[in-house]
Amino acid sequence: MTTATAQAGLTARVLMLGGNTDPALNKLRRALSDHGVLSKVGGELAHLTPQAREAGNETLASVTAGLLDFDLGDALIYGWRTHDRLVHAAEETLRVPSRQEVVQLASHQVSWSKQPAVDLLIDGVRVHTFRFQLTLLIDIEVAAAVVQGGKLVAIESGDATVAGTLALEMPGGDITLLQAERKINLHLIVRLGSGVPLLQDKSDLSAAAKEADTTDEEAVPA
Amino acid sequence: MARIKHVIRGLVVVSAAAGLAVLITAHPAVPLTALSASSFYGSQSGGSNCLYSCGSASPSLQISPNEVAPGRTITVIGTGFGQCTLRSGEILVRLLIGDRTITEKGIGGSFGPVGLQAPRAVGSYNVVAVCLNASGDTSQPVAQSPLTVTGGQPSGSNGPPNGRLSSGSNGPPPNSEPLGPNIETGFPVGPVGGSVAVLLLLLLLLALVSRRRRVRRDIRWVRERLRAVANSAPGLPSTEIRHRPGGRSVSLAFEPHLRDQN
Repeated sequence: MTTATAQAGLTARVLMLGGNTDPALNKLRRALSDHGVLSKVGGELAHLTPQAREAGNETLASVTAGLLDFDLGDALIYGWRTHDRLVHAAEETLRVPSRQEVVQLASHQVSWSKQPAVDLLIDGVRVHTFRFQLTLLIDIEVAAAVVQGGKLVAIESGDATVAGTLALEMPGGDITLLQAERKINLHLIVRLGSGVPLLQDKSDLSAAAKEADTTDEEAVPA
Repeated sequence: MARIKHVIRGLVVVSAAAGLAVLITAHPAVPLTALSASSFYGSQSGGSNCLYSCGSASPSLQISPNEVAPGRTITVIGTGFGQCTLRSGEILVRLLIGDRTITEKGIGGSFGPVGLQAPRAVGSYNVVAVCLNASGDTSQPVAQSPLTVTGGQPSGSNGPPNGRLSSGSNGPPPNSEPLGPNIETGFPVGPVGGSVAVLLLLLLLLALVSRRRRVRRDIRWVRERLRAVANSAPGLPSTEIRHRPGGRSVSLAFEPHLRDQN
């Protein structure tokens, strides 16, 4: 596990591999090689020459690294969409467009996980499917989020630690391929643009907007 | 499946080892004396060995020459075979060498000279004599004499130095017979065993080459045929918020105040 300072535009790949370069990819290739992942698949892949096995590991590592090409800020926002205080603020500010809420978030942890898969093909025929477990744990000490119009429009402050783990399901039990941890500054990793919607889907947004319209209409006669 | 492969591989190795053992022990190029520490074969060339009853009437075989090219004919003379005498007063003796046999009659405990074709494979052999009774039953070997077949092309015609010819052409003599069922010949089985061993070795090589071809999936094979593709339906991520004990989030709402603006 490594610890490093914050970095703008941080992706899971940068977090766990250290970058997009070939040397960075070697870390994953080496992990696959050390665990003999290809050999455990069996069949023809159990009879590769050492050089061929390394080439196979390189191919698998390259595709697997692609699974990590997503923004950590997006993962955080995805988690925050279930944070009741932020969701409430989003609903309120959507109902009253002129309203702005500053939410002081207490210490909490956002747990984000996904199970991507990589198919291994020989001559176009799938011979094996590698199932991965990608987990991010984002520990937020303190943060102030500004919500307006149902969107997160600013993060005033916030420090966090993000830990990422990439594990591979194997018949004998999961094996951890990559693991890393970094301290991050939230406003550096969350790309807000014109605001990030906090409500989970369009139906929520439209329902909130409809409720807002109704409220406005009711307010006019008053 | 892997277990079956291991069993097959084990059988191949065992068969090959057995074949190799047969090849080594039975090849005619390997002198019999090298494989036996017994003094059974200990006599010098030209003489015969008495197997039992070594008294004045002990059976004896004289072969000439006792070193011969493959396929050439040797001359055999037997004396002292009184124990093989039939009621008719004749003796009936069967001579064995390699995979060939020849039956000879004689009078007064002697027979020959008789022509006997040497084996076609180089090696050390023994010409063995056994008694035959009237019904064709054979005794244990009663005498034997060593014969060395040395290098050189097999002869197309037999030209014995002297004595009767058993045959004027290649192949077994016309009165050759199959080996008796109870004869302990001790003959080299090189020509047969060697062929089996060579066949087994070839099978082993074939298996090894086949396995090697299966194993040698090289880097080119990987680059041309192996592909990894990210699954197109990975599913949505799952997420969870865990609040730390004691912490409480608060929110401050700001709205424009119309009364203040007025």
